[in-house]
Amino acid sequence: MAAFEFRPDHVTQEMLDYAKKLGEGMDTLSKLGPIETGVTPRDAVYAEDKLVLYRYRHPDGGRPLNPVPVLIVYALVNRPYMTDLQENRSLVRGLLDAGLDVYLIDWGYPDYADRYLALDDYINGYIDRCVDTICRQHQRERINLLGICQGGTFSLCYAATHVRKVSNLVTMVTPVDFHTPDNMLSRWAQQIDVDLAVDAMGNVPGELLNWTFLTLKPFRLMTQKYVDTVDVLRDETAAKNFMRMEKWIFDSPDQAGEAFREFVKQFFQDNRLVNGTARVGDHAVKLDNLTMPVLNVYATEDHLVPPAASRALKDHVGTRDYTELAFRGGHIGIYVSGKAQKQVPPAIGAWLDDRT
Amino acid sequence: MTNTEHGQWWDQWLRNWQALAAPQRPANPWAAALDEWSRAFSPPTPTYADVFARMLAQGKSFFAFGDALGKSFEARDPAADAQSLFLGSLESLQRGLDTGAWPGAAAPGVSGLWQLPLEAWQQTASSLTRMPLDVMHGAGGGAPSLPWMQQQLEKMLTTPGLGYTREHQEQLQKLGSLMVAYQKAFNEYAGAYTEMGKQSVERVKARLQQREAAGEPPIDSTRELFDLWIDCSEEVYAEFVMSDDYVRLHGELTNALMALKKHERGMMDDALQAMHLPTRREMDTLLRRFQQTRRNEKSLLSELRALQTGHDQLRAQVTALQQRAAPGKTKKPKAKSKAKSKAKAEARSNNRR
Repeated sequence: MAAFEFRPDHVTQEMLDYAKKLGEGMDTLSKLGPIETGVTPRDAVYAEDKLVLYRYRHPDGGRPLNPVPVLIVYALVNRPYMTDLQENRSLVRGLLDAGLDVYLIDWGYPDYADRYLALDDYINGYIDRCVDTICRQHQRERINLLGICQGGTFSLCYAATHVRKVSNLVTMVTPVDFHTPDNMLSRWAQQIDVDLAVDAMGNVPGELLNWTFLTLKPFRLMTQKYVDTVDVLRDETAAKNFMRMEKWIFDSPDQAGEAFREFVKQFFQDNRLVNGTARVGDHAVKLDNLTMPVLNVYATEDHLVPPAASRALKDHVGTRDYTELAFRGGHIGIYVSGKAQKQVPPAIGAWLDDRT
Repeated sequence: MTNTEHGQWWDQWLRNWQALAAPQRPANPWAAALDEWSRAFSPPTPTYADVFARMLAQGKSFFAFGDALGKSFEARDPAADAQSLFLGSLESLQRGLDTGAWPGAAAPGVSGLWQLPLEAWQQTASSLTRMPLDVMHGAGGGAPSLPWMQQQLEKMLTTPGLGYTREHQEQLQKLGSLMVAYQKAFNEYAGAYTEMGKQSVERVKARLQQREAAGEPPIDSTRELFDLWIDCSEEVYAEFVMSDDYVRLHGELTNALMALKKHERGMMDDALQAMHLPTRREMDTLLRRFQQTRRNEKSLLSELRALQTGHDQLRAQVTALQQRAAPGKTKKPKAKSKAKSKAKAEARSNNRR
């Protein structure tokens, strides 16, 4: 049997059909209006520089069942509204439904005035003051911390150096061992002169990071995705979902130069988190200081943070209460897929309830 | 966009595509029609402009793929089957790649795919510098060879500067050298993409042969073939970009751009200084000092709070101890202190008068 059989009239018809769908899709898109993200009602409870700490309101106006608040620490490289993209795709909403009291740090958009913000400022400064604010508000000595992606690495550093302030630590799609053989980003970072890059640019433009992330899978992310999307764009809901995701993907804040320099050198290039030599300001970061219960959630198809990079945490924590949760999906799907909504937030809620 | 405008562009869209089904068609008709339409259409809001541009660009990519396939049917032996025609165009693409050039005209949808990451890089790199990054790009045809041009440029750029403006000459020479270095790094990087393109052609051919040998159902849509092409390209790419060669090329390209950018910034600062305007260097110094001052301030505040808490705790302990030791006397010092404060306040008030 031949590998393929084409007829010219079929090819023509296929092109016509595609053109029709593309036109209909563009028509739908042009009528959508502004794209809203970040849907769950929330209140700003603390602000400092460009950072805002939000507390989410419970949907029914009720009180959280779990008295220990959870602070979500998101990555610097994208905007945190990915955790609350839309009503039926919201990690935040899921955690609220699981009875948790949810806080989230929005880092804002650093500009040149933030060029000398270092990891010390982010971790021992901003995060610590957010934790203190929540502790004061709840009259507690410690809270639960939920770090996502790069925010997970920050949370590990924070929890390892402020052990008495963290009851339970949850990490989601968090890189720990940056030198696993399948870590594309880390491979690429090895021969980058990051000192030169930061000295040249000051802050690192979000556009450069976008290019880097897109080139992890360039043909799928720059081409096939758009060709495939045409099939569903006629539907307004699908078109809105697509636009929300597009908005998020290309909404990349610039990175404060010093923090970027330190992050790339210490973690991507020197893998200091697992070899025990990481430092944040005056604090030595030792993962075996993590004596609180740890839940490590990773995605089995993660192309940004390979599962092995996350799972390495198991061999380095000091706690015996270490749990892993594998989500069958990718780095983005873990926040937004329908399956994730059903699996991830309830599992986190139950795990925390068991330890409260 | 108003409803009438909506109706107009939608009508135009449909007319364009229906015309393509007519027997007299232009070269690359699908992609051309999309181009024509996109020129006439402007997105409803700037928010959508980028998304529309991306949708159209990738739609064009897909149409170019269909056009290439359509051409195979039109130009070749009508007796030949689609598979051998397609394989024929892959071989012609491969021959083109062997010469180091992307034979866009032979198979635009296919070769265009491999240029995307490079185009995206060029776009990103251009946004980072005011210098032209393609000083030797496109040299070919009757133009002298690229290595020759590089050699000549390098000779010129290493000639010692003379006279009163020597330092300025040297700065410009260094800028030129860095631009040449960047171009060399980019050419090598782009060369790797050409190599990956060739491998992806091989991979598609092998995959088609495997399908045939396994007796799998034949591919009968452009889309399926397009997806196969994407899969093969992604596989080849994923293998290559994890290699030491790619890591080196990626590092060299990025570092060359950053060296150029840093030098450019220095030159800009010199120009600003000459005009008595604040420079980036000065701004950096101030920002660094300011950030350190803020850190110190936060740290002092935090220590102060800790001391205050400690003090409050100690005071509470002292009060508790005093109460335990002499329950009746503990209020006296407080009353004393209140009386003292009152007297002090009165004295202050009198002084003000």
